Amino acid sequence: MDKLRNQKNNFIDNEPEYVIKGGAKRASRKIDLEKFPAIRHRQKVAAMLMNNTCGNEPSRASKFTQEDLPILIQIAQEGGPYTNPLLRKQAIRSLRQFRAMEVTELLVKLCSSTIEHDSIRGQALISLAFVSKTVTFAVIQNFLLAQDESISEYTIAALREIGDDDSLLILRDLAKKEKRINIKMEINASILDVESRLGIHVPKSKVRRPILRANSPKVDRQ
Amino acid sequence: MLDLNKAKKEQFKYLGISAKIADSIIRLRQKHKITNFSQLRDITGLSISNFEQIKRKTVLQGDNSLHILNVTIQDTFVYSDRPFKLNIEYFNGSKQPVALVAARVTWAGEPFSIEQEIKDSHKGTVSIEFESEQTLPVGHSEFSIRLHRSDGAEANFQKSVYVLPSNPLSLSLSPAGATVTGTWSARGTHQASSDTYLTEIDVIIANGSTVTVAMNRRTEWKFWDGGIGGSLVESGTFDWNVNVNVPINGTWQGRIAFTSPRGSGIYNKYNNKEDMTIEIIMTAKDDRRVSGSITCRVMLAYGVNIIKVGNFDSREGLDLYSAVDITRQIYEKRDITFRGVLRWIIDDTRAGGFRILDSETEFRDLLRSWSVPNDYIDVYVCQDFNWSTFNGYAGDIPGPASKGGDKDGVAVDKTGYSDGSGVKHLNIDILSKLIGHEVGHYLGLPHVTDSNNLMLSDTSIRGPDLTYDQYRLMLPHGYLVVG
Repeated sequence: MDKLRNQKNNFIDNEPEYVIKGGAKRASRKIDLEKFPAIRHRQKVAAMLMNNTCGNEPSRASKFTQEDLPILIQIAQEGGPYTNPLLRKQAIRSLRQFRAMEVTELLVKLCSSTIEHDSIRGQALISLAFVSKTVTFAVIQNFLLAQDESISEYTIAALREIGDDDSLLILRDLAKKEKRINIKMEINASILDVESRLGIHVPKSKVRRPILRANSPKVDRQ
Repeated sequence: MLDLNKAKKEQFKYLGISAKIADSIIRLRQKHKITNFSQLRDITGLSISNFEQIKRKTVLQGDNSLHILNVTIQDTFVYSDRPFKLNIEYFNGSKQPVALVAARVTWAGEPFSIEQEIKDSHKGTVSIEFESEQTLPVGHSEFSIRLHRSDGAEANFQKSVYVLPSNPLSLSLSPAGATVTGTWSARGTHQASSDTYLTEIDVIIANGSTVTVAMNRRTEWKFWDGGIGGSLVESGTFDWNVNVNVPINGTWQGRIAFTSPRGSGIYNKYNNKEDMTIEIIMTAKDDRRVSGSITCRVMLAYGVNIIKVGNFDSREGLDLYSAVDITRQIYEKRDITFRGVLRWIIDDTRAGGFRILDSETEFRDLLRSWSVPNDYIDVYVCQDFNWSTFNGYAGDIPGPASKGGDKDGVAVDKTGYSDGSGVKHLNIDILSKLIGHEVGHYLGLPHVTDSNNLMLSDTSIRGPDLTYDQYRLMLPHGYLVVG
């Protein structure tokens, strides 16, 4: 193998390998998880949630059953420094597959909680848009024209997901009131998107966000 | 996390709660168990911020949550080649019992796991025993502890431990700045301005005894070709500019930088892409001699432009660059390093919809709209992905070794979460591998199915490993140069 490596890049690696005292392996001690069906179930659901999360393969969003719902709700609630926030977000995202009161309640709680990170709140709000339009409209009353850019953006995304005449009216109203250029552009792109889906305005090409201009980022001095 | 019904008076001060208020809470819970935070509202003098802190950092029976409160080492320290125990203290707010505890150990060798059933789950504590077959050598180890409740709830905790020598004094070397376990090499970097090679290493002396060990400042160094005892390339001595005292059951760390000018033996070896072994020898005042060695070599290297898309909180910024440092260490284990990490930002006012990526179209627009004009890989760290189930994407496999178009970069979710105090963080462990994974695509690596491998598609269980075949696959990329 080293020979091959040397041919490839001309490196000469002839130092002895690092040796760990007692060897590089230690014996694992496992137990039969089949004795714990709920733990097995959790592992299966977690694997389904994180299956194919890198975009360089086609999307294969998993379909969950009613049996999976308690585990999904459990994962959606588990936060903190040692949990995987991406797994949690996927669980929140998957809840949009269920029309259930407990799901609506949890999503309202998460998106309204100031304790939660913006991305958790935002994903909960977008999922809520799939689960209940009426409740979403009620919740976003507090978020419209929010100073926080993230919350504004998630609110626009939720309205875009609902994508009906009512959400279009709210988006148009927001477009009139919004002063921040970047958020205004996002609202306008969403209006075009919803209009095209409703057949009000059919653009010649696919709706896209306007490109600002080819540019270099600023040096980050944080 | 604290159990509000069990927290001791002195523990309340960590929540910023005064002793007077703590007394009031304790009196309240002596009358009747606190089952709802709203019961605290009648306490005189409890401010809104106190109340918020209590809600964030304490738990109540009946709230159904499962938390690991603390993990400690029985007998305080872990010593090399000796069995040890970890004690896990937890809170379970549900009537469902905690059924299982598992610990995954990351150390210099292959990771291993210990799983154990919990028989008496009402105690709130459990010990994991590491027997003679699971003892560890001197050095850094990471324990990932996971508790499983019988209804599927989980709680996680991470514990870092430096295993002390039972002999009881040892010296080990690592690449400068490295903090992970592993058997990686130190790196010789060419300094164009002075035409020298710079080699930086960290020296760690560990003391497993109950007395402080004073070391002599005089330190001997040797560069060998063909291992210790082979052919001596260069050697010498130097004196540390501070006193070297290794504390009781603790470690002392110092950094050495070797500058090797053109014409020197070390320069010539590096220039010929030959690796060497560095040996460091020190003596204690009581004449005990300790030594350590590490391989050093020039490595292939690539640079990264870390581009924040949207504003980050200050803690999030620190976590981001900690994650990037771990990504570097993951690649260094396979002899590829970073030749630079440049920091950039597209702030909120200019990032627009790119802060949250919704589609491939938007991702491509991001790459077309923004770029850093250099020969480093552009890594866009976005606030969120709201795009199918994805949390990372590479412009192409492999990505181009030039800038322009809509394939010249990668994007990742920043992995944000809030801690108990409401401070926004990023998950350093997950983010480091997420960045490493997408950059791996950019350098030409496809997905694999080995769960310990960096190129596994599943972000949750992805490991940090890169194989030699993957190393070879990356070699031809135009952004990879001898650094």
